Amino acid sequence: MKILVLLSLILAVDTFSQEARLYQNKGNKFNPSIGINSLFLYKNTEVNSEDEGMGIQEMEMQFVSDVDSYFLVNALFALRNEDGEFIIEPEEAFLETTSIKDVTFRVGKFRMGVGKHNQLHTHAYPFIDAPLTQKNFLGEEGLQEVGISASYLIPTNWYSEVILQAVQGDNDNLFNSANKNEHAYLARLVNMFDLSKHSTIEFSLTGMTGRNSNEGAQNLENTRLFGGDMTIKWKPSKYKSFIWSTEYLQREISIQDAGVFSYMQYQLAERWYLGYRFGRLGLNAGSAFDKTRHSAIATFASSEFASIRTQYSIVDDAGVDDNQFLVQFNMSIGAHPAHRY
Amino acid sequence: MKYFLLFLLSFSSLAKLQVVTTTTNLEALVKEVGKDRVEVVSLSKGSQDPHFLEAKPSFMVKASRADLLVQVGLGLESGWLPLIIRGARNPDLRPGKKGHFFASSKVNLIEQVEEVTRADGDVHPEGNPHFMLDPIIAGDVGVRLAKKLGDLDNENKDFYLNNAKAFKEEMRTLFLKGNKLLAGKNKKIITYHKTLNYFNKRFGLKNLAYLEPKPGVPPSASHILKVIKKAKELNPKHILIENYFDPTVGKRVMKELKGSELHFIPVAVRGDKGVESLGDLYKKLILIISDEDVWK
Repeated sequence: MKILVLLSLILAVDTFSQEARLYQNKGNKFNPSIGINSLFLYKNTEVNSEDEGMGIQEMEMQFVSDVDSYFLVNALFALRNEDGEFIIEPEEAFLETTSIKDVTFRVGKFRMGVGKHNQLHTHAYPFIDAPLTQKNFLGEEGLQEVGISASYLIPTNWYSEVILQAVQGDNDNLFNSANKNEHAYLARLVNMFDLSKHSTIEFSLTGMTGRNSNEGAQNLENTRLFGGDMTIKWKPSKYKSFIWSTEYLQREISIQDAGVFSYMQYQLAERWYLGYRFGRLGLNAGSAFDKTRHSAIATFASSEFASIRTQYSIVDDAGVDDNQFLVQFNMSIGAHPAHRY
Repeated sequence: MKYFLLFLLSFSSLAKLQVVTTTTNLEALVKEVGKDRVEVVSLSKGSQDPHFLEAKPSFMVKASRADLLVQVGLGLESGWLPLIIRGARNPDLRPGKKGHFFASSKVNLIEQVEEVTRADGDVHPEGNPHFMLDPIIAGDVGVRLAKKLGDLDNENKDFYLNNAKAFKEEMRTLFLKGNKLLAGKNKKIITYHKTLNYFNKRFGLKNLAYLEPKPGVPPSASHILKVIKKAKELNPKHILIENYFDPTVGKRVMKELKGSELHFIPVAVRGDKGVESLGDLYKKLILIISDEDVWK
């Protein structure tokens, strides 16, 4: 009898703990996938700048999950040092439709389709810093706005996509209209073809229009952006690959500026990459910029989640020369969503 | 009326079930089950490691028109397939929907682990994803796949099921014959990655060591020395390198081992010349390990 009581007690405890476990598992199952990217940076420049020395370049916290059978939500918060103080900002926070055929709608804050590079998160940049056109035309972190986006896959034999975006426009100098009823609009056409078994070529065009109040709240002016980009990729195995990507961007506010950057990246072994980038601002007369930059980068990626990169840049900024040396540790933990092609 | 029927017929060939698979082994299985009544295309090539594919937009174009997506699961495709499904804008292909099929569900998986850390390398905690290298498991997956195809294309339900059963039987015969060929042979092997473990389990082979120290981690000098030492003690006959991995390490190991043979083996259909079906693939592997020239 004693044994029976004891046995039933043990069984009771066991079923209880099983139930508790089931309950716990269920709770965790519905948590979003969480990933954290940490970027540690050492920077040394000849022309002294404030962000020199050792620092946290950025930390990104990304959350992704299906909401229900119709939507998913993707949120990415960036922690960065701005003028000596750490701030947390939503870099992207949007919902996306998952149950509509042929078209994907996005609502929220997202990186806009101005070229290819602007859509990358900092940890996925091919070089440690952003290209000149992004930093000087679009703003330090690129163009991320709140609005709605629709992308349609055109039924062709190659990859052809139209992206239309309408956003509130809250960018410091591009779309800062004082009239909140003035929005900014973007159209982008992407075409990609397979060149061979292992290589692809992509051509894209972007146009964007909006209003700015740079000349005063009562004096709204037009803002226009126009861009074109081309990317060739070759990847015959996981030990070798090559990328050549070029982007042209032109902006018209009260003045007109045009710039370009082009980079090549060669993977020479499973974990080693070399790259070279050229950037130029002030392709037109009357531009606010006259800047040229050459950058070389070497990357050791210990796995798909971690890389150590060193970069050397030679800058000519309107006659002022600068040499920059950067070292970056780029680490990802947790769930890591797949990267765009 | 005759022309009208012909007209309808021309449509019925267009209305073939469109299937996309992530690997050529799954593509080959769909061909066994669906024969000429389905159109199937694999996203990875037989010479590619399906773990390291990129989310190529041309895959999205293929997936946008598909009625069914067949994938391995177990995290094998997680680095690229979610973007393909999203980019294809084809909601039917999402996991759980009618146009999606996990080949791994209901498979008796090996190497499942409860606790994992990325320090262990590229571990798939839900189980080893290379089950398609076991002919018996492939036969079972084929039957489940036939049911899925039958759900989507009711008219050909019996056709699919009969093909799957015939394939399963063929695999059973192949297994028995392979077992005979391997009987009494040196069953000790070394591979690069844990790719052959289901195959090994089925045919009673013993994998002594892996050239990579941890899954997905490239071989280090000290690890290779350990492998060589172990091989010298235990005398494996065959060093088998899955042919999408770097061949140089295998060659280095071979310099130290006199009695062994080095082979660069296909582990997927169309991963080598003459490997056009799953049967071809299993036979090729068995012939290499059993040192036989012909399948008899």
